Amino acid sequence: MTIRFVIPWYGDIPGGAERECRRTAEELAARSHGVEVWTTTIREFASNWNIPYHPEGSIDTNGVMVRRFRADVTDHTRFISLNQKVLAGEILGEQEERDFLAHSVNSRRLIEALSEEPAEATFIIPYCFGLTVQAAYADPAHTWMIPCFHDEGYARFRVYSDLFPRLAGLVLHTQAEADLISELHPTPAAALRVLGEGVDVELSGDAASFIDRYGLPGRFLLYLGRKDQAKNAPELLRFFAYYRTRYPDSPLRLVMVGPGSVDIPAGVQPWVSDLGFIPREHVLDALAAAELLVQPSLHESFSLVLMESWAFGKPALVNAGCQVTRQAVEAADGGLWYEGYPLFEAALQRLETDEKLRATLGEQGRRYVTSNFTWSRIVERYESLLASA
Amino acid sequence: MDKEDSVSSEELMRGLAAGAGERESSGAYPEEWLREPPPEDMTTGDRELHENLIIANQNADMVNAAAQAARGANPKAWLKRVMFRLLLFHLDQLNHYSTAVVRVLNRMNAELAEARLRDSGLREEMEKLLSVFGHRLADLEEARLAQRLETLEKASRERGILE
Repeated sequence: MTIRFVIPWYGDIPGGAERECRRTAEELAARSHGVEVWTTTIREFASNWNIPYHPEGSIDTNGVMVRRFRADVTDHTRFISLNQKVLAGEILGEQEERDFLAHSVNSRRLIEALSEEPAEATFIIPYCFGLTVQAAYADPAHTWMIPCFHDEGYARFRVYSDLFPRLAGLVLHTQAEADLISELHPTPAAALRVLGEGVDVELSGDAASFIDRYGLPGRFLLYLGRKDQAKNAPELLRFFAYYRTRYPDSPLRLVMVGPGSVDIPAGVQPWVSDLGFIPREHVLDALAAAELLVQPSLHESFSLVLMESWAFGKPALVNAGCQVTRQAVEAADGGLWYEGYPLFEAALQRLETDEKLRATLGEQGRRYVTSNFTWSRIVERYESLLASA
Repeated sequence: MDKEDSVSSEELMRGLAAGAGERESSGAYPEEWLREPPPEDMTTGDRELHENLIIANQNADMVNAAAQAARGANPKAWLKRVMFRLLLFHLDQLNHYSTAVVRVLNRMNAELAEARLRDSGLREEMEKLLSVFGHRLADLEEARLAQRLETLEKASRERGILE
C-alpha cells in the first residue's frame, strides 16, 4: 500500500506541522512502507507563495518520494486583508471564507493529479489552507486529515462542518483537540483518532555549559517559545513579578528563550534573563539546566516543548486554561497547573521548595513521553489505523 | 521509582487550590493582582506590534499597487514574461530532457526573482507580513524562522519600519 501525505510545503523547514509530516513520512518509510509526499514548489510558509522555489517533479528524499506541483498564483493583498479580520476575531462571511481559501496556497495541478491517481490512504496536513481543504475533497473516503486544530479563528470556518464528517477520519494529537472538533464541527466519534505526535526522547544537554555560557547564577524556571500575547508571556511576567514581591529571598530566576519582545516589569528585571533566539543545542542545554518548564500558553495543539522538558525529566507548570497542556500534565502526573495568581504562587512555591517532588514529577513525565510518544509507538498507531481502515 | 513514591498531580492540586483559596479570601493579595488587566492596558510591545502590523500592511498595499502600475506601464515586459512562461510550460511537457532544462530555468528564475525582491527591500516586508500573520496561522516556533524574525525585526528597526 502506498501512503500519501499532502502538505503545502515540504522539506527541512520550520513549522510544527511541517516537522510532523516530514518525520512521520520518513519513519513510515524506514519501516518499509511506500511513502510519497505531494506538495507544491513553494519553499516554505514564510517565503513568497507566488514564486516557485523548487522544480516540479519527483525526487527521493530520505526514502520518501516527494512530488512537487506548481502552486497557483494567488492574491496576497486580498488574503492578508481577510486574515487580518480573522486575527481580529471577526467571523468571515461565506463568500469571504471562500475567498480566504481561494487566495491562500492552492495548486490546481496537484488537485487534478489527486483525482487522476487516487491513493489507498492519503493523509492531509494541516487544516487551514486552500490546498489542504481542496485536497481533502478530492477523495474524502480514503483521506485522513491531520488538522493540527487550535482554538483560533480559522477553526470556526463553516467549511469544516461539511468536510470533516465526509472524511475517512481525523488524526489528532490530543483528546482536547478531539473535544474541540466535536464542539465546533460535530463529527462521528469513530472518525476521531487520537494518535499523538512523535517526540525525540533521546535528548541530551550540558547544564553546566549553559550556565557558563549565559552567565546565569543559580536556579531558574524556563520559558521556551515566542514572547508575545498569543503565548501569554505578558501574564507569566506579571505573575513572576508578583511572586518575586511576595518571596524576595527566592533564588529562582525566569529564563526566557525565543523570538519576539515583551515588556519586563521594572521591579523584576534583575531576575529575568531574556536570551532571545538561541541555537537548538543551547536550548537542549537550557532544558538540562532548568528546575522546571513553565508553559503559560492557552492555545497549543500538542506542545512539543512540554514533551521535551519531560524527556529531560523536568516537571512542568502549565496554564489550566489550556486543555491540551492541562490534560497532558494530568495524564502524565508530570507537573502542576495554575489559573490566576494565587494558584500560580502556590504551585511555584511548592515546586521551588520540594526537590524530591520535582524529581518525581519530572520522572513521571519522562515515563509518560517514552511510553506514549516515541516515534516507534506513533508509527505502530499509524499502521494499526491503516490496517483497520 | 517505586509505586509508593509516585505522586498524583490532581491530588497535589486539590491541596494547593484549598490553600490558595484561603489566602485569597483572607486578603493576602492586592486586588489588582487578582484581576485580568483591562484590554486597553496592552504592553508597549503589543501596541507596537499591532500598530506596526497596520503600517506594514499599508506598505504592502502600496507596494502591490506600484507593482501593478509598473506592469501596466510596460506591456513589452509583460508580453516577454508571458511568452517565457508559455515556452517553459510547453518544454515541461515535451520530454525528459526538456523537463530537466525547465527545472534549471525555473530554479534560476526563482533565484533571480528572489534576489530582485531582496534587492528592492520588498522581500523583507513580505516575509515580515507573512511571519506576523503566521504567528497564529501555524505553530512556527522552530529556530530558522525564529532567527529570520529576529533578523527582520532588526532590519525593520534599522530602516525605520519599526521603532
